[in-house]
Amino acid sequence: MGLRAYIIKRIIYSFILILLIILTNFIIFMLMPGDPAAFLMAGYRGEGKETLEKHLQELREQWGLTDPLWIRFLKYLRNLLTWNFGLEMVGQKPVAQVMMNRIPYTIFLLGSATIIAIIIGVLWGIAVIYKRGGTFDSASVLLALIVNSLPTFWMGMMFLLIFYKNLQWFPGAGPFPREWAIGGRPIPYTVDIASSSNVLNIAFNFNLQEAWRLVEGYLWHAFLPLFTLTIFFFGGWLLLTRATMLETITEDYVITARAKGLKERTVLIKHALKNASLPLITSAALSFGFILSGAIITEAVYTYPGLGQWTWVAIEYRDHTVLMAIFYVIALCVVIANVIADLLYGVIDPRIKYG
Amino acid sequence: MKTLKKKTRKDDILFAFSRIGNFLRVFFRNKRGMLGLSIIAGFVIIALIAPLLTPYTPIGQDPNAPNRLLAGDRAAPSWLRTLPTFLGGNPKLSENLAPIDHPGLLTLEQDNGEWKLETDEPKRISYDYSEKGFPLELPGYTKAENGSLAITFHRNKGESPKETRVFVYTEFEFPYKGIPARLMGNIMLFIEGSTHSELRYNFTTHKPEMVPFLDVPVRVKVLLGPVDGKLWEIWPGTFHPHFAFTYPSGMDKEVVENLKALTKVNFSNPISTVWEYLSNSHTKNVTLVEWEDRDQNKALSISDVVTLVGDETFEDYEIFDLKETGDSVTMGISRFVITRPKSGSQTFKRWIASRASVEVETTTIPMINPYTEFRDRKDYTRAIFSKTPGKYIYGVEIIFDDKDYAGKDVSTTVYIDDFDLFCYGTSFGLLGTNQLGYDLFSQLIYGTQVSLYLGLLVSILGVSIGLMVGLAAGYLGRIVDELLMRFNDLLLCLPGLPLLIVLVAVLGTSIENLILLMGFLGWNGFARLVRSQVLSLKERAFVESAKAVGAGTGHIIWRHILPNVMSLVYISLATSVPGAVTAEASLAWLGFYDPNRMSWGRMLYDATQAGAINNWWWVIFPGLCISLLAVAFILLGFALDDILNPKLRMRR
Repeated sequence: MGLRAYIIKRIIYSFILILLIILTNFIIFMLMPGDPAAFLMAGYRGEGKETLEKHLQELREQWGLTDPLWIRFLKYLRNLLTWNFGLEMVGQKPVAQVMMNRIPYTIFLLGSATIIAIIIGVLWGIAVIYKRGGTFDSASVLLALIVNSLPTFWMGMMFLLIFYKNLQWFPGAGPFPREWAIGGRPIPYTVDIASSSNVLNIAFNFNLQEAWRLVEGYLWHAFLPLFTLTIFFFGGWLLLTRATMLETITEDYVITARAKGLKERTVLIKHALKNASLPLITSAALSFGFILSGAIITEAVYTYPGLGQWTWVAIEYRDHTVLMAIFYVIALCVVIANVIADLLYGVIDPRIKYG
Repeated sequence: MKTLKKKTRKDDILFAFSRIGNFLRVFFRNKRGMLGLSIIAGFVIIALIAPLLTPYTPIGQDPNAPNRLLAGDRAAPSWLRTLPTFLGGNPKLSENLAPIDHPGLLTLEQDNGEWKLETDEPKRISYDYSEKGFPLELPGYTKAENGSLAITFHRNKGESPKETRVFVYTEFEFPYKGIPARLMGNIMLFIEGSTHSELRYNFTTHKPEMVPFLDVPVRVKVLLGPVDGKLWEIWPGTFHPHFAFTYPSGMDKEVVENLKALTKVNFSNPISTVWEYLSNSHTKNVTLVEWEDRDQNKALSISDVVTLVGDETFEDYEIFDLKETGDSVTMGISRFVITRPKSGSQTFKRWIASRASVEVETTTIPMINPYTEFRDRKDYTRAIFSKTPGKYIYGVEIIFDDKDYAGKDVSTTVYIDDFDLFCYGTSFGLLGTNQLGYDLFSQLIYGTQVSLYLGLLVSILGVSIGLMVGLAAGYLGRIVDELLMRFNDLLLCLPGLPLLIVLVAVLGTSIENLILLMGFLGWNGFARLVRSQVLSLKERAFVESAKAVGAGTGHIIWRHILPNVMSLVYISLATSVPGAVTAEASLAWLGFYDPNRMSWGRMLYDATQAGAINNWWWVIFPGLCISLLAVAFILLGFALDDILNPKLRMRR
């Protein structure tokens, strides 16, 4: 079987997987008890139980909760396939639009955290291999294990305690300074306020100072979540680099390279790292697939309006529509990342034979 | 030639023992493993002897008096008082103090007691120690055993009427440099008399009016303040010049029912009647609020301590009942709406609480009184405790108001008993208290149980499912393999934590549910590992020869494959605990915790919800415990990995 046949097989398989995911997704949220209408109306202070019941019924009908199951499934399928996920149950905004507003935050946060973590982790891993077997080695491994097992929300709380409450270096919540919100209202960091209009502003009347102010504001607010996530991620990369390079440095070609009298640094980077990079690259591809699902806790700690925080809010309100859409998009990303990782294997390593 | 000895059962056992012995010998030499193991052992011991380490319940309440606070809310740890300031210490913290502690019979100075009696009309006032205690047989009230102090006001027909004041007080020393968090006092009063009318407040017209009744009005106030300063009225917090706290004499059933009708409050336990007034402690402009009982049929339970939880707009307040102990968040039994009066008219409704013990909480500031200048909840206590440390006066002021009874014989007796005061400290115990005044140290200790229980069970469940799936998929292959692995892929594609949260939200947050869900969602990785191992084992010679001898599938898996993957099982058992522990903490932090158990994650949730991130002692220790436990299991797993995978050891 050649490469082409393999690719076709992978793609067909991924399609089946996606269909299965769509089905599972629907089943999970069908099972979900808790009436979103009741959740929304929990704060109802109007008069009379009948009125409340009437309101609830209206809401259920509006959200299509009273339809038979198969109609709901068809609607759901249509929504997913047309990328028009319907309206949020609670906010009554188009899910697709809200998602488009929120995804940049998540991608920015997790994408940069992942990239920084990979760079730090891999470099540190090489350094550890360079001085393997010593105190530095075991201390680094221990550190990586510890940061990997620390609860992220606690790290977040500690950073808030230190850098926000006590030192007041960084802000505690939100993706941009409070003053930027419409009318200076402090509370809802609704995303659509900032991103689209500000970006348009920059595009149309470009002003370097203004643009820098904008970038600075965003970066300043993203620092703590970014820091937390980077610390949380880098340990895994350190361990992975160390493990794969430990495999390769016992190989014959490394011994040969040493025998040739090459410097240890050259041996490690040109010979060992290159050969160890295969699992690193594929797991990088996989971790980018998980970017969209990664930061529910961190975003909740720092009130960062990405997909994770949205998921949390949607779970609180039992907002099926939103959750189905999020799960679908995340699963889609993971599947695609898997396919890419598989293909990368073939491109990078010519020894791999498909079959 | 050596003869082969037949293998016996005894040999098997001996072999097993020697293997374990060898393993232990290697393990004890492994520093990391020993460190991890000893940390875990420490946590296990703490979890087992938790009741010995702390006298309080897992939630941090006193088991004997669950409704009573242990200290002020958000109290700091006691050791912060003695710590130097540059290390974060705060000498201005106070401890719990009972300056006047269950005095029993109030004995006056003249009779070698500690109480003093002051009056402006000594001729009309006489005192006695009454044997009779309280005449009312009331549910839930234990009678004072040793009688009470009886103060009698007596005036003959001919004498001119005059408002007469009696002040019974004592002095105490407040030794701390900081103010108490809040005050609590008890007083039992009973009034007997024989006159003819009483001043009453009419709720519909909002005017005082005379109600025919057989006694002299008596106003009672409890005063507290520094010896040489202003005495503050801490109870009942008089708010209206015409309506001081009036005790009808000979309070009997009729009166009780009368009160009930007036206020629509279930008045079942009338020992001392306390009037608590609500005011806006946030803004000065809105001083008066109106109570609206949404569910008219449901009366507010009398013995509730009420706190206000709400935002600054003051539009929408919910009242939570703290008596339904345990849950700090969702225990609203009666929901009220407090609305801002639309007109500027000062209308109000009141709430009567009858409790043996009266909480004078600093949030409830009387409305129209000299104290309206207080905005902050601490201001009130700060004003009372103006000198710390210092000497203070605590006493009860009784005013016999007989102006309207000229030309009549008047005689009223006031019985006072069980008069005491308790100052809740701003520091308590080893870790302080949470926002409800529960002991945090106790929560931390009992949190160990939850984490260990959950972590171990989840790892056992996940590993056994993973093992079974891996064995089946790897050894049976073909369609079984395909099905199981595709299911595995499916689970891997769905986002882990959000899926877990959704399922927990759906199925309930009890700890058993958490364990089951985490176990059933957490086997994928291990199943893949086992499968790949089995795939390579399957092709080995010993499996081939077992097949050739005619061994069945079950036998081969059980006797030949399983022993070879057991090392993976042991390692994975240790390394999958940390994930479970942190996942539980994360769920709890998001609000999905078992309401019946106190876990470390829930402590952090409480800290976040109470806005107490600044209370570092509250935030640091639960997180440290989680991390320590996680790291311990990881160390153990690595040590096992070192020992059970000799290939790895050789490479290093």
